[in-house]
Amino acid sequence: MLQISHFSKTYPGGKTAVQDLSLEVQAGQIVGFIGHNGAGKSTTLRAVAGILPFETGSITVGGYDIHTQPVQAKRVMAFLPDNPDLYEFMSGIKFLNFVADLYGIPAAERTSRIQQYAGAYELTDALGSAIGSYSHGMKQKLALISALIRRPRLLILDEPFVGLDPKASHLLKQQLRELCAEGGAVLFSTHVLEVAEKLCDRIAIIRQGQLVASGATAEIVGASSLEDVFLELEGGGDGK
Amino acid sequence: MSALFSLCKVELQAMLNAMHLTGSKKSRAFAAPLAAALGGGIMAYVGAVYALPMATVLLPMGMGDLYWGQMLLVGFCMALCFTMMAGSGMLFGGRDLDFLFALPIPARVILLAKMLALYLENLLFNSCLLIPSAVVYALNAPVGPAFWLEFVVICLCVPLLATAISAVFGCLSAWVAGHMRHKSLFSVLVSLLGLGLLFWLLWMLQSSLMDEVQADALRQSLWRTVPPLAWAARPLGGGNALSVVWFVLLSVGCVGVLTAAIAPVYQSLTLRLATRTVHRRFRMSRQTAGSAVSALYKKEAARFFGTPIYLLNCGLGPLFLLLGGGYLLLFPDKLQILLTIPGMRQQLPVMLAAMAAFFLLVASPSSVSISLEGRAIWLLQSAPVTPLAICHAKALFSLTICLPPMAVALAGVQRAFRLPAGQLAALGVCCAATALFASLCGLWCNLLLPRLDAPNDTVVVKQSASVLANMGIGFALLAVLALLWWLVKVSAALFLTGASVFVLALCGLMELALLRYGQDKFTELTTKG
Repeated sequence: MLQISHFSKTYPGGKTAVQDLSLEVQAGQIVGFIGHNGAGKSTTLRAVAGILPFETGSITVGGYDIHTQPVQAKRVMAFLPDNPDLYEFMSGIKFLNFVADLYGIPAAERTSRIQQYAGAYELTDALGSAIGSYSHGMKQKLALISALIRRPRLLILDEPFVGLDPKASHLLKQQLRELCAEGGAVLFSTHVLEVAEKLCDRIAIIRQGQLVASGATAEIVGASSLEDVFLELEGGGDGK
Repeated sequence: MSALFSLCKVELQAMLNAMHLTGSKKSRAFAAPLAAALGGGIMAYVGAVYALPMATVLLPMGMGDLYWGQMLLVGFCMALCFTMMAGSGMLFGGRDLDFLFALPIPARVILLAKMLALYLENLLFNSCLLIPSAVVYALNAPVGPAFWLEFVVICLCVPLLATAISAVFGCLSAWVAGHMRHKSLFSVLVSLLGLGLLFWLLWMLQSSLMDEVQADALRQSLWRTVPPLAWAARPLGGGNALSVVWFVLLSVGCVGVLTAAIAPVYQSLTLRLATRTVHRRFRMSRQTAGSAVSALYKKEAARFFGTPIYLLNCGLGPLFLLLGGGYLLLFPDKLQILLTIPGMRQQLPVMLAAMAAFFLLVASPSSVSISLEGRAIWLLQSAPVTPLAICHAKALFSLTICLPPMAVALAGVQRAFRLPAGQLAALGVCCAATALFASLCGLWCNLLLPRLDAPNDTVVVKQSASVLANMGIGFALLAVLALLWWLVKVSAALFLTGASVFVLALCGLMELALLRYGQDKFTELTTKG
């Protein structure tokens, strides 16, 4: 579903954010992408989403190259950045319709999907209000709904659990599993290692722009915890 | 004091940032000369077209104070026109206010720092008018070091008065909008009311001045209407320098008193303006589907009409066209006197085209449309639509917002002046071509000079480099065409047709560049500046 091959990104000014990263996400898998602040997680996710240009490496989504077939690649995936900024001048329902129009979702389908997901996240009665009046959690929920109504084959989420209440977090985990059960795939970054350990089929750990560990969760964690593994990997590379 | 200094530094940094005068060497290398050229161009225009003719008439008659009275008043009003509507956004609308209020800094210090941003903008506008006025005056009248000292002091103080009025207005606008459910709508209404009031006062003043024929009567009329103007104008015109002291005290005092008055309610007003209640009344019904192109266009329209500062600034040009056209439709005989001026009939279509072009070029929505996406740019960049479609939607909206007002203006012109069909057609095509140019040029300026990390929409609309660049390029085009009209002795219809072809050719080049480079430019946009 997602193939990242030898991806590197150096920003103007010479800072190398990601170096020679290769990662694969198969259909039906939830892959957790973890790393310290500034490790290169968001850079990688934004490159996959097609919003960060890069010169080295290749990224294909659902068989479409993000460079040569960006529109087709974006059509099959949904991306949410961390702390997503939305159009505050729009109401929730207008925003959802805007997204649905961009993705060509027919009227009947979008109505039922919006009803389904907005109802699940208990946001239906607030959809008529301006997004500018929403709390952070409500905006996060709306952003998630806008992603889910597209029925993406690949879901790219950057810290999706931030701002969600426990009920919504539980619901999101359920929905991610359902999406994968239907043949989709999820790649998400998080700092909440317990969630990654319980939810993900595979874990990829990035450190200072390089992939330092990648594999099935059980293999990565072994007999200890993901937190111990992560801290060991973080501590082991400080110039030693 | 150190807190005030630190906050003032931040405000100045934000302003320079918005104009691309900080940041990478590449953007500074481009923006700095552009800003200098634009500022220089405006000063040269003011000096040649406004200050020089006035000095030529008034100074030989010993009316230096009246010369300065007029220039100071025009400078003051011009600055106020631009900053009055920004007062609310700049003082009460920053995204950093939550953070600032949480710091151990008194509200009056934060308010003073925010007012500095307003002051700097007023200073910029005033300087563009007053500096060339001083140069023209010095070339036509004996001046010494005292004059320059007085000038510098007055030049620094006039913007303080404009700042104080903008702050009052901003406070009023924030208070009204904060107490209403539809904040944007009331913000727009209050701003339009203020603008209308300002123009009405100017009109009344100009009318009363035009009625006076004696120099003394002219003076008395001006000093009676705006007394502090005399304190500033008389010393510059060679009068008693002591009144400068009164002017300084008044200017500084106004800002001081206002700050003291607003500070106790500053935080509560800001909170009230920022607070939006979620109304949990929505009931899901069957939704309708549209195309991606219509969705992009409707989004542009929703942002334009839902963002007061965007609407009021970038919609002013079309609004003036609409009002002008409406005036001519309702009172077609009022300007008939123009046709009695020898040669005016031949010049009229070109003059009307120039006027329309000015309104269309002064602030195109497309020049800030990309910057206003701000941190939400990811929505468009991750959507399955081409960057070209996104850019075209922005340019199309910018173009179509001008077309109905243009149609009204043309109808008004025809009712008032009965132009021959050929001239009217040429005028219409020229205006449409200019509107298209403004849209595409604005888009390119914004693609090349984006500002996606501005603290609020007001900074984007009022201070960003793309707005200034678009304005500068537009005025340069007008200057070139004006020069060609002066050199080439052809009929108005032929000239307007030729100008339309030229402008459309430029549009064609910009469109080709968009097809070739637009995708890459859009993809490169990042909130990291």
